[in-house]
Amino acid sequence: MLMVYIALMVCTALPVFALQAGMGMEFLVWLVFVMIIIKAVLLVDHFMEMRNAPSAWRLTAQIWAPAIITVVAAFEAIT
Amino acid sequence: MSTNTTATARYLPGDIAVWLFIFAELTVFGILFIGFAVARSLNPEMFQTGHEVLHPILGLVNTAALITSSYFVATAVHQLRQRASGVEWRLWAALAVSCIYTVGKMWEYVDLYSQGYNLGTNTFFMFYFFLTFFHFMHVVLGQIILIALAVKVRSGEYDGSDMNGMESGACYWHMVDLVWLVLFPILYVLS
Repeated sequence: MLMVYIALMVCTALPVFALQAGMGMEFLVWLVFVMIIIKAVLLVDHFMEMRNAPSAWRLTAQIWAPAIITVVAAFEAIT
Repeated sequence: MSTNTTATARYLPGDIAVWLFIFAELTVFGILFIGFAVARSLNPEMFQTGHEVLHPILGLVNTAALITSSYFVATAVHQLRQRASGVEWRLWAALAVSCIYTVGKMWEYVDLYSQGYNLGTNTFFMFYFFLTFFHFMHVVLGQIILIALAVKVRSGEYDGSDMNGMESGACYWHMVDLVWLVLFPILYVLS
């Protein structure tokens, strides 16, 4: 559980460090999207303990953040 | 034999009604996020201007606070399942850390309001105040649930024999965290 917590904190801090290191916004945006999906899956599987849930429930819980991010990313790409 | 063992080992943590509620909440938040993305694509300059007024460092601190709080709740559930000690203080710690979020959010509301920003300022601030306050109210409800869980653990009502109530409350709290993990970067970073 502690490793998951550390991973979540690292994923949260990574875009900030990337921004300070001078990463361009065009890459930073996609880094942020990937980090959101990783964090959401970690949270659902380990903190919510959905890794032991029936597959349909687990998938439904896991798919929420990637689905939202896909739509937001699509509009980001259009913009 | 092993298939049966796997099947019985798989179970939904918490009450099914709470999960239906969680999915309903996630759907509402999802629609709002998509609405935000559509509005932003129609007027990116307005959203960029609005974004510059926000406090990203405060948003980052709030994210760390909610993740830490979720960690305490997740470990509290684990401890209770093992019938080990330290469940109650973990729940109080989760509540205390989450107060960083509520205090920080209230400070940001007061700061923005004193600068003249409100729901009617423009589309960006309509989304900002609506989304964050809607989430804020969920956090407050989650804090009340954490208090209820801690009190029940103290009274001995939750002793690990039946995990349904504890898991339900914990899953609601993690849902609040999950929504913020998406809300924070969309509002504070990408705009």
